[in-house]
Amino acid sequence: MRWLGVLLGMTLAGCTTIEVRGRALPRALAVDPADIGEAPTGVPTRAVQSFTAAGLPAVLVRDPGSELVSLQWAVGCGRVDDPPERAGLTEVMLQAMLTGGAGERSTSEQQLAQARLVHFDLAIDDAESWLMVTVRREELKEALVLLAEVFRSPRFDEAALARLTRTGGKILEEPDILARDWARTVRQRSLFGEASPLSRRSTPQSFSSIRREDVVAQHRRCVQPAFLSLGVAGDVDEATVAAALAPLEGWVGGAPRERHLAPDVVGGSHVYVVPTPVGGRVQVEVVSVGLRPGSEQRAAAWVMASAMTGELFYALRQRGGMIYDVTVDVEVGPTTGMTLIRFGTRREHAWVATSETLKALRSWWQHWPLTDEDLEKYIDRVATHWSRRSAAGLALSAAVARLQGGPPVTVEALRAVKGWEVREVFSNTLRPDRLQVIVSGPLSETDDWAALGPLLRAPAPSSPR
Amino acid sequence: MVSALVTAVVLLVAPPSVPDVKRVTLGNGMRWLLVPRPGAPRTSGVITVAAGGVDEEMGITGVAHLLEHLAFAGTPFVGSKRGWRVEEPFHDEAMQAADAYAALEKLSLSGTLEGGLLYTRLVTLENQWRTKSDSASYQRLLSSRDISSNASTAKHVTRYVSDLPAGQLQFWLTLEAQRFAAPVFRDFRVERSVVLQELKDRSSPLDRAYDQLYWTAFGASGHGWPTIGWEADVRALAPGDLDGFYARRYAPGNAVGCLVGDFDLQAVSRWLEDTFGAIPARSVEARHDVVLQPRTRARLEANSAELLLAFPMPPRTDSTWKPRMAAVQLVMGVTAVHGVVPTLAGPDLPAVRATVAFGPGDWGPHLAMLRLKLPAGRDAAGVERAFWEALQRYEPTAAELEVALAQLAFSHASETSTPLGLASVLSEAELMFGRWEVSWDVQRSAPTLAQVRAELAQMFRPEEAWVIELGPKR
Repeated sequence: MRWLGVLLGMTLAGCTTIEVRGRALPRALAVDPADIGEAPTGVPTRAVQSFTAAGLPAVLVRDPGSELVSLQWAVGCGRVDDPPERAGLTEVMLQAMLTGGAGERSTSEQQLAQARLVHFDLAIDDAESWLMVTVRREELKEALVLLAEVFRSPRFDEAALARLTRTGGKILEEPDILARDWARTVRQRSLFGEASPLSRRSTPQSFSSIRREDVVAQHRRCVQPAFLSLGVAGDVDEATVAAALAPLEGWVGGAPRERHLAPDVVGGSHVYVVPTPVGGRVQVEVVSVGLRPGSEQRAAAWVMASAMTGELFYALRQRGGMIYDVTVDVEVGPTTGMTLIRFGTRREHAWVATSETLKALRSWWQHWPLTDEDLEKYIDRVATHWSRRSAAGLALSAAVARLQGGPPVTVEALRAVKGWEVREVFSNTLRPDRLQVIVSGPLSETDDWAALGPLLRAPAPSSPR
Repeated sequence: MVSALVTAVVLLVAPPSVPDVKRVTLGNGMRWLLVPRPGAPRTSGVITVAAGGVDEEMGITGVAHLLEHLAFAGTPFVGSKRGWRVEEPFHDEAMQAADAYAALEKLSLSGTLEGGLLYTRLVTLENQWRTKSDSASYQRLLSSRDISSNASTAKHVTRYVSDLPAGQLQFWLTLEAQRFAAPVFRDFRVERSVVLQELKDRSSPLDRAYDQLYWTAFGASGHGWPTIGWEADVRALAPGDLDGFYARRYAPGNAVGCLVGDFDLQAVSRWLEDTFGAIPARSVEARHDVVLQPRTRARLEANSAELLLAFPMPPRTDSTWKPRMAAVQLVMGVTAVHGVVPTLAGPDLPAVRATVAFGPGDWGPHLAMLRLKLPAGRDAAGVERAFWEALQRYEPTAAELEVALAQLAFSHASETSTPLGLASVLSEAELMFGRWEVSWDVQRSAPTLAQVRAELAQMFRPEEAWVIELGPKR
């Protein structure tokens, strides 16, 4: 009977007008779209070209038709490079650099010229920083002349520095930023111990103690060709970029600085509860530190992160849509690999969602649940995602890969990932004996966090001192 | 001397380059804009419909947004497990029951015995319908073709955006034309509850401040309520409300499509005729004009202290838009030290931080909103006074205007630098004004310093501003 219905349905669909509550489907459109063409067999991808320009390792990602050119500088200098009593120095130095070079123009003219031509964004991490510069294509050459001046001999104007250090300190006192910064500090201390450079926390005092000579010295140590790589994205070719970068030719910075980056990882697993009554959501981080994936394992780390994100999202959503999002990242540090599982949720769901996450991880340590077929699905997903990344995003990750000394992750590299590699990254970077759970936000009094592991209550955030 | 300076300013800022666009008008009035990008690995496709918050009425606020959500539930061919003829009676019966139950909800009678019985019947019918349908099929089919798809609803338009591999254009056009002509609103109540959840998450003091601001500035019109709708209205929306809204706004002549990517123009033109060209023409209602209400002041309770100042802006294609935008840019500060706001917001200054936002929607009259975050205990009236005084002292220079114009050119380049962004701007300008070029005409105009100064004096006056203060209970 059922098949008769299907047959009848199909026949009727072919000879009468289909209507959906008054919305008529024209006969020309009464076709099954699935019958048109075939599913694509590969994903189209942007090519990443590696080259050297003005002595800098560089990569280019073509972006046909774009009016903008994006210059993504990966700088091998981060929070760990701050002197202990000057936490925040690298950030101030990079921001101060952007207030102008030491040309013949006045500070005001210099700032106006820069504001007219280039648009900056800055991100600081533990061991690296990213300086993202965007310019209009027709102004690339002019902008790079200006940038060269800024990179070679920044002005480090006293007034601008004073403003930046005051702003840096003030921002830390804003409740939302204070809460986020405190939760991050608790996480870093839980992983690396209080004394580690990785646990350093900027304070209004550390900002106010920064002097011009510190900034100049930090610039000499960090911003030099040996610690830079450049990712370019735009409708430009290699020759155009190389010509535009010519003003940087012959630029020599100071001697490479020494870095002490081997962190002591704290053993044991804990649940840290950080009461921060700011914002409406509870943020949960489940973090573990293990071995640093080798450069050839970077693609496998991406696949692992994608698979974990997919599996966790599904597992947590099964519990009634209690989370807003979940992401899994593998952060490749100078000597370690850190797996970070993050999600935001309502207060009433925080405990159950965290418990479910830990339950999933425990079962995965017993038995990695992914079949080769599942893995293929996730490889496909991450390769597709990769191919859809913006040209600027691809350029940045390729620049970072060059800075770290490995080949950029490509769709081909992702497709070549094997199951055992993913399992190896999983077991090396996500360690059950080093799993820290950091729960921050407006927490419920009744939740039994101690049931999830040895509990440590962090004090509420106070102004950093 | 002044005019010589101004001329120099104009020459320094390179105007945005105009894209090479082919316009195709189908027999039913639907327009398509085609932008070939040889070498682009993927194609961006946008279909923009002149259907948004401004087309709603009191009682059915949020209907445009809910329709956009349900447009992803499939078509008669995509989402039917055993063919539409099998699914249709289940669909019809469940939709009728949902209409009847929503009618009781609108009258607050859903808690009655009749309401209870009807609800039980509705749930039964929906479960039966689900055995014949699958609302996730549409997204699954797209994924299988490596196509990502999303949508957003604004005040004037709803835009459906997709990113697809080059070889999938014919498939995508067929599927989208089918969806445009005959969407099936499967899992209606599930999706409505998703929107209600979105509404719950939107309850910050700032959200309340914007809601209050729009209501006082635009009154009981589509500009006056949030695009997501008021909770009571969304809770009572029925399938019939969506049908009515669809019939009023989703006509081919009321939509513009745009493709940006590496494709064959002739083949695409043929496919467009075969797909979207097959949808019969229909007329749509004209839109109402927006009337700005008298300026007001209000105070809302919140944990943190903020001051929100709003000023009227013309549509973004109006000749006065560019000088006004330049004026806003100058006030906000083109560098950390040039402008009005840099003297007010920062360490040791009256405000902690300042941001600017525009809304609701910018294709019609809208507002420029300056938001000043105040330190705890700071008197908002004092900060507001300081703002007006700083404005009176401020004299923009030609060099500052040059930077402001360059920054506006950069913003436009950013907005249109991705294929998706370009397709969105092109299709919206074409839809709203009949010529996509109008958006570039305005962007390429270069107001003089005198014009911008005049706008500055005209726009930033206490009697021109709506003011909302957020702060702790007094």
